[in-house]
Amino acid sequence: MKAIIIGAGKVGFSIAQMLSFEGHDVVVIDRSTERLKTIDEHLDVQVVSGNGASVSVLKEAGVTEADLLAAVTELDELNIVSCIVARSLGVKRTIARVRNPEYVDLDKNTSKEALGIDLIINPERVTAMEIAKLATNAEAQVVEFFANGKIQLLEFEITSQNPIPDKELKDLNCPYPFLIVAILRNGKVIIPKGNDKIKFGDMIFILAQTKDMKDVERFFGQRRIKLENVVILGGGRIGYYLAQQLELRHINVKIIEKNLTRCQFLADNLNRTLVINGDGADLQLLEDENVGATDLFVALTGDDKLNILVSLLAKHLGTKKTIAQIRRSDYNPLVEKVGIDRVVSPRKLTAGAILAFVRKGKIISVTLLDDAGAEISELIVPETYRHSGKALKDVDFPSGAIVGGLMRENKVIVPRGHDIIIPGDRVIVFTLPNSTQKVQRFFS
Amino acid sequence: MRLTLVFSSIGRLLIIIGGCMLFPLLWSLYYQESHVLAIICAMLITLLAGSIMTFLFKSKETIRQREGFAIVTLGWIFASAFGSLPYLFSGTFTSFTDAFFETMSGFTTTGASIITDFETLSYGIMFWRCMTHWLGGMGIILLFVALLSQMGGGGLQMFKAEAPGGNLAEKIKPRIQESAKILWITYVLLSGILTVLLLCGGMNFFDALCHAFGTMATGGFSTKNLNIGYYESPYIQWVLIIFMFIAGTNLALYYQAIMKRNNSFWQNEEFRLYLLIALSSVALIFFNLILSKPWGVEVTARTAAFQAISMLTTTGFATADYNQWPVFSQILLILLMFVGGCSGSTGGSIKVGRLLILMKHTAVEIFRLIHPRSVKFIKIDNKTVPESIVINVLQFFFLYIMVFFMGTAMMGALGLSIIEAMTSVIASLCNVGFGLGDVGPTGSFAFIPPAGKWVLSFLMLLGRLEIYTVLVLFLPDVWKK
Repeated sequence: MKAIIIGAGKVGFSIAQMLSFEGHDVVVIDRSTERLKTIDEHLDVQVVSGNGASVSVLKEAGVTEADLLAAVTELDELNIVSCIVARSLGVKRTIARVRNPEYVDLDKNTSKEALGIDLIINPERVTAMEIAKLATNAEAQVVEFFANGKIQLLEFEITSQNPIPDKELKDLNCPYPFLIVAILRNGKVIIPKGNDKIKFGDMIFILAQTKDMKDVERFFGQRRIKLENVVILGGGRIGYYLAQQLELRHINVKIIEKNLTRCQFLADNLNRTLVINGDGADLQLLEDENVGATDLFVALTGDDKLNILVSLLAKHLGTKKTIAQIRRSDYNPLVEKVGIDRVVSPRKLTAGAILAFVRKGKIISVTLLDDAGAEISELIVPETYRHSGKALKDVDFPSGAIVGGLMRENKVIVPRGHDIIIPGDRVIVFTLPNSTQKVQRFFS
Repeated sequence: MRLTLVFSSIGRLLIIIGGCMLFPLLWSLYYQESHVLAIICAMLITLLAGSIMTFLFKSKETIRQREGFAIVTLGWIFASAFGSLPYLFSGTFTSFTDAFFETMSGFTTTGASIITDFETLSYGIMFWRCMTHWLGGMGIILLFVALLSQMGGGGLQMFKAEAPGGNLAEKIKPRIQESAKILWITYVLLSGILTVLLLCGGMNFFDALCHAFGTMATGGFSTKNLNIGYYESPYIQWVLIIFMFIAGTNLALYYQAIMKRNNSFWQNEEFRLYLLIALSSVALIFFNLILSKPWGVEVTARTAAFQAISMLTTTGFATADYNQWPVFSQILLILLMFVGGCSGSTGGSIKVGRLLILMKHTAVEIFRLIHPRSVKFIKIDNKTVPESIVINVLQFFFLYIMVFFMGTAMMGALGLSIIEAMTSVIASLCNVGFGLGDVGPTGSFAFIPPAGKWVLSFLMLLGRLEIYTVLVLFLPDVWKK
């Protein structure tokens, strides 16, 4: 497949990287030769300098035979125009990054088609949705939903507080079906077999029916944290969207924002959120607003260092859980060690969403699991599936991958070795990076 | 101020008022009364005065804000002056003071009366008296705007200057004339429905029409000495309770509920508060009465509901002499008078919408004591209320209370007792029509000295036009060229 990416910023870089690793031809267009140089040095892609909305530049990049165009520059308008131009030049699918909700929220059915854009992606909204998801299961590191929300994936840590039985996995007797798809132990991902054991310090990835998940968690001694109060530092776009989402879930939200005009905007547009005008790095203010007693503290300013610092301050004051936005992804592994519970990066999430779209077809969704370096995809088994009707234990399933869940005619199955897969099933597959291609071939 | 413009508009307004006198004339002719000539004279003089003014002061300029205020205030005064002619010519009143008071009380939908025996009035005069209510209820200027086009932007100024609830009232259509028409049509339809319902309850057509006028305008003029107490039928009383409540809601909501088919009533915070105030006050008075009066449950409930809703909407109908009621109920009734209907209704007084803003503002101010750095706006129906409107409402409340105390002091100086001085001022300023003591439901305002009647007439105008519109004319700047 040939893909054109307009914009060599952070998001553009991530997408180019992912697509290039997967073996696609990638062309990156940007005005800044400096940024193109960085990409050229790091990735195996072609670079074109110029305006992505210009016909001649697009032609130079080979737009006529491209299958995909992703416009991810800083400018919404430029992204939209690029997509329209490219579409008229014959690109099959287009993706635009649009941050201003006024362009996107017009009318979900008509505006995209009228503009000729297949996917409009708003990184801030994607990030806010991700944090809101985490907020509903505050005890978990990762929360994902599959099969229209009927299957849930959680990642949580087994600490000394979890009284787990010293048994092999196949002997664990839980009345509710579940599957541990992966164990992250000492930075290494293990796809567990029946004779593996869970140890303290493990991060486990569990798949189960959403309605059973609460009991499965209890089985592992994990207590659900009920979120009631959330403090958001930074009332930018992500903070605003997040407050909207949390309001819908009837959670009390406080936003601390430095800029008075922005505060007025927030107070005007949010209904139950308490907007505080002040500096988040001001310890006195954090104490006055009783940040220590909140369940979740989310630092979303544009400054990574400030986010880390204030999250640590909040943790020190007694906040149960902290989430920080970190734009520079090279910090990520470090930050979670320091004591911040979870790091989100809009750029990573955006890239993930775009990747899922690129692979779309049989695949319904792809979720990147940051810390495990793995991904979970949901797909529909095609008619051409070769192993139809065979039990899972009898087929040669790719190593480095595991089927975590099945849905057949709206019924959820947590698969065992004797279960079978037939065309039309929805399967949820946990895959390590080097097995992605094998899994795709297996289901083709 | 371009006075030619003001007088040309008032001239046209007088032509409309004169034209409306045709209706009492028809009733008078139908019953072959001796007052036919008096009404014809009043009508001709009003029409003539109006025509002369329109003829003398020709102007094609657009009305600006200051002229808007002047047209509304002076328009109401002129309308009341000419509207009192039928009373004078027919000999109902001998003094202009009394006639003016009665007309002003009619137009402002106050319903305070000087007449002690209504049943001796001729049909023509009686009808004119009730008709002033009906015209004033929706607003005579609004009628003027609805009937005459080419108002330009000035129509909006006048609409705002007269509309109950002031700047809280919203235009429902892009064009002000369309909005005015819709409001009047809603008003006419509701009045028609009420008339039919009253006819079904056994009233004759004349009385049904007069009481429909008094109810929909939240006025309070009745054709009977005993007021609504004359009709012992529970049906009539319940119908009136419901329609008084309807008249006290924002009339634009009916249009929105029917045209847009949305749940505009529940989505409207002001309406929810209005309903809450109505239900809780009825309940409180009911419990207070049932402990002290041997009336039985239905009668107590009906009487409590009737009186509470009548005072809340500032209608001023009465089915009972609440001078005999326990003090707690009396105080509640007085408090209700200060509430009034929703903004955009025909009711008078402070209005539920303003109280809502005052209450929310109080809550925010107290909240700020704990969170001094918080940025918080007052929201109604999930929309932020601009700071300027909040200040306007706070100021309005201050002015209202000031006017109330100053009015009370004046009435006291004229020799009224403290209860009568206070309640006569409330009755006038809030456009209710009844107070306590001698100005209560069994009494009349006849005993008040002429100076007092002028004071009260002025208070009625202040109350109906919601103070600002009248007070602004006392600024010398307004009158400068």
